[in-house]
Amino acid sequence: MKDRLQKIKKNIVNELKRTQTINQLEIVYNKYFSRKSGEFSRLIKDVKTIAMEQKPVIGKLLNDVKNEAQILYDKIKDDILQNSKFAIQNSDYDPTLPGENQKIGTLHPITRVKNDLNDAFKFLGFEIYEGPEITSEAYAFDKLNFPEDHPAREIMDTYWIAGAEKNVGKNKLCLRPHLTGGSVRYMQTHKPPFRFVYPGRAFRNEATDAGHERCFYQYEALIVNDRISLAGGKILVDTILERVFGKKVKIRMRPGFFPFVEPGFEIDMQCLNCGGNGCSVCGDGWVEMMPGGPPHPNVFKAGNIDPKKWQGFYINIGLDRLVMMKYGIDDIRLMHSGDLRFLRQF
Amino acid sequence: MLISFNILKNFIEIPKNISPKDVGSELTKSTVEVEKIIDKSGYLKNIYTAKVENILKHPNADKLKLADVLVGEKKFRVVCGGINLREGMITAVALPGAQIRWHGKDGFVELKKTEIRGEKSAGMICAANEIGLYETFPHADMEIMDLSDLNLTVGADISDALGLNDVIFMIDNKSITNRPDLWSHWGIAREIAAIFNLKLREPKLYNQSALNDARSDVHTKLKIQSSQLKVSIEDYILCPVYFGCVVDDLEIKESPAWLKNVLISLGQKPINNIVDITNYVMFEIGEPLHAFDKDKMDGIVVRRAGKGESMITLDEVERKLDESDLVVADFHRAQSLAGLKGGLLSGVTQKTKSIILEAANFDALTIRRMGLKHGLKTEGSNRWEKGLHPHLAEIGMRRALQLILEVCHGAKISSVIIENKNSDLKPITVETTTKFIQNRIGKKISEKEIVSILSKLGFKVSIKNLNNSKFKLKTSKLFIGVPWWRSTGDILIEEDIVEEVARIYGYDNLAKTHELIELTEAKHQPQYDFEIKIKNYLSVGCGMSEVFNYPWASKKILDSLGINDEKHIEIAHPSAEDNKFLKTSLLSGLIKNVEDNLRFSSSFKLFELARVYLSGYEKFAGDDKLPQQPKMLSGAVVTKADPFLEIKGIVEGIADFKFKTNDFRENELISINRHKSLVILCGQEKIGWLGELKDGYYEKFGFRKKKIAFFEIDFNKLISSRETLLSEKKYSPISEYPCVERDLAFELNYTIKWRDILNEIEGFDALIEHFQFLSVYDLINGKKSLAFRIKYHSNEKTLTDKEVVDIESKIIEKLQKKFAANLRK
Repeated sequence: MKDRLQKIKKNIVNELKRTQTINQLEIVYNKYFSRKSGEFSRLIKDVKTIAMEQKPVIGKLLNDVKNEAQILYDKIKDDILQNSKFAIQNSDYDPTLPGENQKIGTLHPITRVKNDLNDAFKFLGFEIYEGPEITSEAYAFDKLNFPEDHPAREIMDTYWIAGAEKNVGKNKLCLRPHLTGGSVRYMQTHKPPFRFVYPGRAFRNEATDAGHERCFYQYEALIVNDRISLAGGKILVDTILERVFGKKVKIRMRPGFFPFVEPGFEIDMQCLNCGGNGCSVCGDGWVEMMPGGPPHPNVFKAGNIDPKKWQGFYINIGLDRLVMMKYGIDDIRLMHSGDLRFLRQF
Repeated sequence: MLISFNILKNFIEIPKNISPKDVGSELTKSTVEVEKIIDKSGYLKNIYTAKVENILKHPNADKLKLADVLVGEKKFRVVCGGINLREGMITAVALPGAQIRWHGKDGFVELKKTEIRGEKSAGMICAANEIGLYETFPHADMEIMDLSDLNLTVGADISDALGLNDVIFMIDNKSITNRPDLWSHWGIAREIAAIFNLKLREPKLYNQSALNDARSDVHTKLKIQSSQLKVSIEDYILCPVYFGCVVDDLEIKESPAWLKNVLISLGQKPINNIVDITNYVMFEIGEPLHAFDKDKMDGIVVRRAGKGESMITLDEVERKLDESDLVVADFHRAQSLAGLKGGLLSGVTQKTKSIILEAANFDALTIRRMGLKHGLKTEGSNRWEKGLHPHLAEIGMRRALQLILEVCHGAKISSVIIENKNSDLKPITVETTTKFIQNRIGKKISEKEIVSILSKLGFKVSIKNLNNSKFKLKTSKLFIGVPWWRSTGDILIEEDIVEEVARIYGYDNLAKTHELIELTEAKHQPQYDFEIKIKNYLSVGCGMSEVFNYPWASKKILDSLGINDEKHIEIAHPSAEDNKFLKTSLLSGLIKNVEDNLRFSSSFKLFELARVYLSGYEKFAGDDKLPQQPKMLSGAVVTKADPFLEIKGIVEGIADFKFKTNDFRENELISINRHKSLVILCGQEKIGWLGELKDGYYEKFGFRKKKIAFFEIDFNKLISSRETLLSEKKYSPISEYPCVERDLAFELNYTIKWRDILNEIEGFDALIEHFQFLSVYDLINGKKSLAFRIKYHSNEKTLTDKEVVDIESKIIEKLQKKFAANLRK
């Protein structure tokens, strides 16, 4: 084996040295090192057959020969290239080739907009808060002034947890149908004045299509102090949307009914796609952005806050909708698709 | 809900300068969203009423005629094939520019002057189906519209002549679930009157005898019975009031055109005069009515159904009933599902001569539950579900009787029966102050204006001045009487009054205030800063894409991963089998993402930050007891090379973790290769794992020529550990002395791991500054070569060769001894 190695090494060195062109060089190199048919490669396979105690020595020799050949090959190649009349000049370089892809990953569009909103609210002194995703009927409905017979409590609307679905109140568990219950948890454990946001996902038992999801994202905020009014709430919404979209956006507040606010609002934003003239995205020039309004006195009471003494304002942003508006996404189901062809666009 | 502009005009005079669009936009801002405004008259432009003056034969066609028609002052000759064409008839003529629907084609096309079989035609005489009016004017094939009986002016715009010039408002139903008073034209008209400061006309009501007597004392218990009909209510909670009225000498036939047109505009199919009137009154006044064929009924009993009872409703479906159903019955059987659907047996037909007209009040929740149970949702049940005011029953009845007398000539109102319990009709008064309203709105709206707005909405305001002589303060209290139509639970507290004032005052008119300004301590919440940092690290830093997955795992994926579903929290009524089990690990979602993306991409990296759900208890703010819902940070690497070391590198970049070998006992991790996995430790605490998918599972998912590794870390444990590398950095001075780097390679048994070597060299000598892995490869002799680099350095001097060689020899000696390692030269 050793002899065969010495011999092959000599042949390789001689033949390589005789080559004059890149083409010849490659032929010689492949003759010995081609993975399948190279003479040297075949020799490596024969190592299996030799005695155990010889293996280390032969192994090292094989490596040495390979390394030596490689160094020689590289040097000859360099020489040929240097001396060739076809040597590549600087001017031959092709600067129009595409740059190397840096393979930077991507954040989910919801994360991006959530971060923007967090920045906007933090700027106004808001704290970030989180409630649990599995909650109880008490926080999903009772404490939010939902009447006992409210349709949202039915099984077709809310995902109740098996085993506890026959219970009531704090013993009846569900996937939260909205985030608002979390605000009562905050109120119960903090003293006003305060202002906080609580982003997250919520769950509703409904048929999915391009505009509806069983799991969707919301971004809620609550401010409580001794003077926030409807006018103040409107300015809050103005300020936040302006920061998120990076320009002044026109909003419209109109009456809406939600048990946990009194009075309740729907807050619309002038469509950014058409500038309010009406288009396929918005219909009539306005896009429904969020409900909002002052907490209903019963909600304040559930949060151990005196409704005579304190005033407040909720905003409950449909985060998916805001994201869809911002990026022009037309199907909410893409959010959970995990599809890189979608995710890599952000 | 659809609202007709024409019906609104019966209640309010809308000035010319207020367009339907203005009405829609103000309604949206002050009352309810108008989703769409549809102008019906647009479809019928260039179509006029015309008189056929003269008919001639068409020279080239047997079935066609030439007709001279008079449209106002002008005469036109048109070619016509109508089989009912006759001289002197009044019909509809379309002139060029009109929108026409041709036989057998969808959509409208514009009419042009043309030549038919060599004869010029200046327009066309229309069949009703050619201009979209078939439902109002049904006709046989090849029949043109015959309007002769309608007494129309010749040459008039057809939409004006037939009352088709309507504008329809589409109202968003969802936003008025709390406003039963708005579920009618009357209700919407009341709002428009208040918003635009217009006078509201009351509906024209039947106003005689028995009904008047009843009206005089509607708040007390009242029973008026007639010899002709007995009415009894068994449950006054579910039905607090019932008006039954017998109308005789009826002829059931088609409704007049105006009634049919208006119902069609509202999306309803005209049926016959009586049914159409009951429907119309529901849309106009808001009270759903029902008419029974009197000859099929021997009395009225409002009661709960009995167990095992059943009835066939008008849609010819047999309904099985039980005690949860409220029915209107006679003395023998159920004759209608109260408020939902009439019975087939007592339905009004062509043969009906007398009816019992029903105007009642039914319990909202009962009707909703019945609707769900029987799968029925009707315009009536839609209104009942909102909780209509009992007083509406009487108005609905009076309005319907008035219309029956107007529409059905010869009809006779024979008797009126009222069954009524002293239902909760006490007037509601809300007490508040001007100051409260001003504070909540954020604008100093004067007391006078507040009172004026409330009065326009029907509230009765009285002001009581409280003079506090001691402090010479003048304050006043407002006592606000709520009108009956708003006394349905919607207006109870002073906050409700705030809304009434603010919405009519106009949210657009609220001025800028500076209420947001409040200097408070800055809030530092490092956990949320960390979340942003870590997501940036994983995405921008490691090239991973963030995914969002559902909180539930499909049974199929759990099975494929060999995960036992027993310990999973389950959803009681999942919409599908794929969302029954709540995840205990993010792994199932990520592997699904991998599977989906491998169809388009060959190597990629994903991560997700989301909660999982475990059966233990976790403390949250609040007084309920909730399951554990830890937030997990999880990731996947898909590559052809070694995903394990890549994912380990990613994890190592998050924090200064320790690792230990796999002792996974969780059933979630049965699919992870035991030898290519590690437990992640933060200090002493186990906070996660990383590892490659086990052989065998690749085949299960059809992952060919791919290697996949995952990690999962408990995010809250991670952030509370404070050991993260992504947190604050401290600068260490750059040394002025050079360092010496020396490489070593050893031949080692496979049983010796990198960690073993590391343990020996770490802390071996103070001059060793850094110890770095270089390579490992197989020596084809059952052993491996492991190469590494040692960096020697001192902060006090330049190291001499000898000092370095001395340490190095000791290392070599130690490794040779301990691991039977051979130094490779």
